[in-house]
Amino acid sequence: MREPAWRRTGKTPDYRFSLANERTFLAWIRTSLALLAGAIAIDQLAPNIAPQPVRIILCVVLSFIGAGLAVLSYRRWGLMEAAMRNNQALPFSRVLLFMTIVVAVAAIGFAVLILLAR
Amino acid sequence: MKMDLRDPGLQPERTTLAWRRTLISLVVVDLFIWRRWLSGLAGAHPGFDYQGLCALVAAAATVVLASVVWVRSRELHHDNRAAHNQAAHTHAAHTQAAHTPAASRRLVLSSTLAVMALGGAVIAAIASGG
Repeated sequence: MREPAWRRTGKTPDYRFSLANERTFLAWIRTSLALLAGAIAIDQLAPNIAPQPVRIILCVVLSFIGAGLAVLSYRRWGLMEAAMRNNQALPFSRVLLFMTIVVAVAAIGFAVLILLAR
Repeated sequence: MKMDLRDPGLQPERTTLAWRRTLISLVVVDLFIWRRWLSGLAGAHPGFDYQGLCALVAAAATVVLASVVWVRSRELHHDNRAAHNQAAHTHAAHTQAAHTPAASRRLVLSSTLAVMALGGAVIAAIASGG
């Protein structure tokens, strides 16, 4: 697998920035893994939280968001490094807002389910 | 220059730790998938073992990410020490910049694909379970 064209453009950024970008990628990957872990944990450890079809749909949706977030974190890593190589402003991203909404909605949704399941 | 001497060792170390934390997070998801597979074995019924397939995909994803973490840790550690020895001779810690390469696209893409495969296994494990 060859390095893509953008990795030969511009100049190599300071290694500290490259490593920080790498750690940011890993932080997003861990967020993605946390969503996957949450989905499968709810499915297995809280079988009575909702009727079975509802529970499965909710957990599958959470897992899809988790898997999609892995793709986004790879894309973001590439965009960030391309911007640093060409000395441009770092790209703005709606992922932060999107994830805030996802986590808030999931938390409120499961809180309601826990209350109703009693 | 003071900037060049700053932080000779901690950047690679923090990056290595971040990779290892990521591997630990992945193993947590593995445990849930394997737990379902093992608890399903008790009342084994004939037919294709979907949970077994999910467990296998999860194991493969773990092997891939563990290899990436191993390769990357070696790169960071080895380069760090080489730069350190060189710096001791030349008083030029900034040579580390030349010795600490950014992660290659192959490693980053491999870990992304491993997490996506694990996501597929999680979705299959949830959807095929009762």
